[in-house]
Order: sequence, then C-alpha cells, then structure tokens
Amino acid sequence: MIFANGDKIITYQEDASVIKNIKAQYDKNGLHIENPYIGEVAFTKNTVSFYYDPVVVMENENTIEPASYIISIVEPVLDSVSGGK
Amino acid sequence: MSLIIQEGGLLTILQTVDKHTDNNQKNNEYNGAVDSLSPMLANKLVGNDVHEPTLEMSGQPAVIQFTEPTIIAYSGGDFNGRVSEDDIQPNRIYHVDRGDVLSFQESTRGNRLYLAVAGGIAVEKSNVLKSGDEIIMRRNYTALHDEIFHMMSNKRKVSWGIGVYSLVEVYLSDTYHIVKRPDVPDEVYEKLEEREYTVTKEENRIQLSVEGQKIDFAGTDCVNLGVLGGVYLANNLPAIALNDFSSETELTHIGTIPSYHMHKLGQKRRGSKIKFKAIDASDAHAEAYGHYLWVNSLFKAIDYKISKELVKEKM
Repeated sequence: MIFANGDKIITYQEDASVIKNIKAQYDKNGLHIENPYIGEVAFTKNTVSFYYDPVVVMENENTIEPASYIISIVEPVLDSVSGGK
Repeated sequence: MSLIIQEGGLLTILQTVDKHTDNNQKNNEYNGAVDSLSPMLANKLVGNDVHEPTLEMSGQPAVIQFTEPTIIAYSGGDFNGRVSEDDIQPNRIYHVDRGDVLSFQESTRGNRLYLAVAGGIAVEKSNVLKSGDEIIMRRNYTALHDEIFHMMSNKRKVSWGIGVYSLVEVYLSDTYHIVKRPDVPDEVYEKLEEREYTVTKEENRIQLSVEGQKIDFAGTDCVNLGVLGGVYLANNLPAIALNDFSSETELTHIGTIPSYHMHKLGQKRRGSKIKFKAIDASDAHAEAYGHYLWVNSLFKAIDYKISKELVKEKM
C-alpha cells in the first residue's frame, strides 16, 4: 500500500520482509531514485517514507497533485524491488 | 557572551525553524520549532533570514539579560513582556540596551513564544537552556540590520507591529485537518469528527494527549513512521505527534495533520479544544499552497513596513 502520509510524505507500507529487501537495495544504490524533490528517506520495519515539499513540486511541475507526482516516481521503483507485491 | 539566562523558565531551547539532522553539536537535537510560523515572523521583523534559529520558550518563559545593545522581536503566544521598566508586546521590533532584562507575564492565549535577535544567536553547549547559561550573539549583520540598528538608535520601539487580526486566520480556529489513510475505515473519521477533544497534557515537544470520545480501532500490526502531526491511537484516544516524537511507533496511525495546521497546534495547552476534519491529500495540498501564498504576502507586508519606516527615518 502506498499513500500520502499528510501533505509532505509518501509512505509505502508492506510486510517486513519486503521492506527489508527495499532497505538492502537502498543501502546499496539508493534505489536509483534521483529526483530533486525527494529529501529524506525514512525506514521502519514495515514502511519506507519519502519526504518532499509539496509547494516546490506544485510550482516547478505545474501540478495541483504533488502526491501523485511523487508516487509516480517512487512506485515503479518500489514495485521492481518488491516484485509488485 | 551576549545574553544571560537569569531564570530558565519551563522549557527554553535554541531551536531551528525546520528539522536539521546535520548539526555538529553532540547531543543537541534540532527537530524544528513546534510552531514554525512564529520564529519566521520574529526573524523577519529583526531583519534576519527567516530560518535563523530562535529561542523557543514554552509555558513559563525565561528571564533574559542582555549584555550589549541589540534589536529583538518575539512572536507566538499572547505573552506580554517587560524590558526593564517598559511593557512590550509580541510581533513588534524593540531595541534593548546593555543591562536590560527581558521578562514575560503569563500568556492569555497560546503556549509558546519565539525570540529572535538581530544577527542571529548560537549556543556552545546544550541547546536546552537553564538558569545561568549564556547565549552567543552571532552578529551576522547585513545592510538591512545596519539600517534597522540606525533606525532604532534613539528609540525603544517602532509604532507598528503585526496585528492580531493578521494572524487570526492561522491561529484561532480549533479545527484541525487530518489527512486520511486508505486503510482506515470512514467510520473512524466519522467518530473523530463527531466530538470535540480537550488537551489534557503536552509531553514537552513530544506529543499532545487529549480526552474525549474513544475510537475503537486497532489497525494492522505494523511499525509506523513517527511523523510530525501524526495522529495515533493511545488507549483508543488520539495522541498527536510533535517535533520530538519517536521516529517509529507501534501505535495505530489513523492520519496526519498537515503542516499548515501545525502552527496553531504548537500553541495549544492544557484545556484547549481540538476538533478534527478528515480530508484527502489533494485538499491538503490546495490548502498548503494557499497558506504558502498567505505567508509570503505577510512577509512582503513586513518588508514594506520596515522600508517605509527606514525612509521616514532618513527624511
């Protein structure tokens, strides 16, 4: 499950084993997410969360849905690591 | 040495506006101001960069002595203050002299104030300040500071400030948006919206606890992210995460209060009322953008007032 966690965070929540794989990949290569809008990436046993500034995304990407924009960046990467789970 | 804490108050802390994880000071946490709008306003008034660290004082504010002249402003809760024999108010620019002592009366509304000093301030040891501690003036002065110093050289204060009416929009309402999670049933949000909650206590900068209608929802067995503004269920009652909340928690997470409502949450105290309104992230982003525009217009108004005062002084 991926969702907007408030107005500044996108959180992906899954089984601990899936998050463990994602964390391993993140430690290895940063998940190859090179996006200027994504700041801190925070892990718990069951979640990985991406911090962003919605106003910057709205202004620079000319969008009123910054959460959808960030999800469109991180979701394919997470799916590829988790096997689409 | 520039400022001396004569009495530490309940909790006085040098704090950044936003969370900083890259500080070099061991054991000092800079998780950001609980009310992040007020320090920006205070900084703006004294000519600082709006993100300059300020003194955050909660509950009973500190008593502070100045050992050299400077320009100050404070913002946040409705604390009336005194500089030596003169009464001072929030959201105004003041000139203080060597030896002046700044103190505050109890707040009539709000829980925190933020004190900005022209040129910035820093600490050498702990950023949690106690009686007898010293605060260093960074003296990072700009041309604007020089002009403000000149403008204030023979007066204690300017005749204007940011009026309460200007800030009503962001501080007075008791209603808090909560961005919904997709895995929380609508009934939870309906229950949450039905009743008013009352703040029972704040664990310093960690969380606000409330009493009111219990929410019977367990959620999935999961370690959640501890997020600023996160609303978690502790003993079936909402607990709202503040800046120093744990980075992760096993409490059930039912949603998150957006950043634009965290300013007024930071001013809530025991007995304050809280109502929730559940919204989607897209609505929160529309509100966040409106708030961003409002803050910028307020900053521009302060710039205009200062420049007008400077012109008046030169004439």
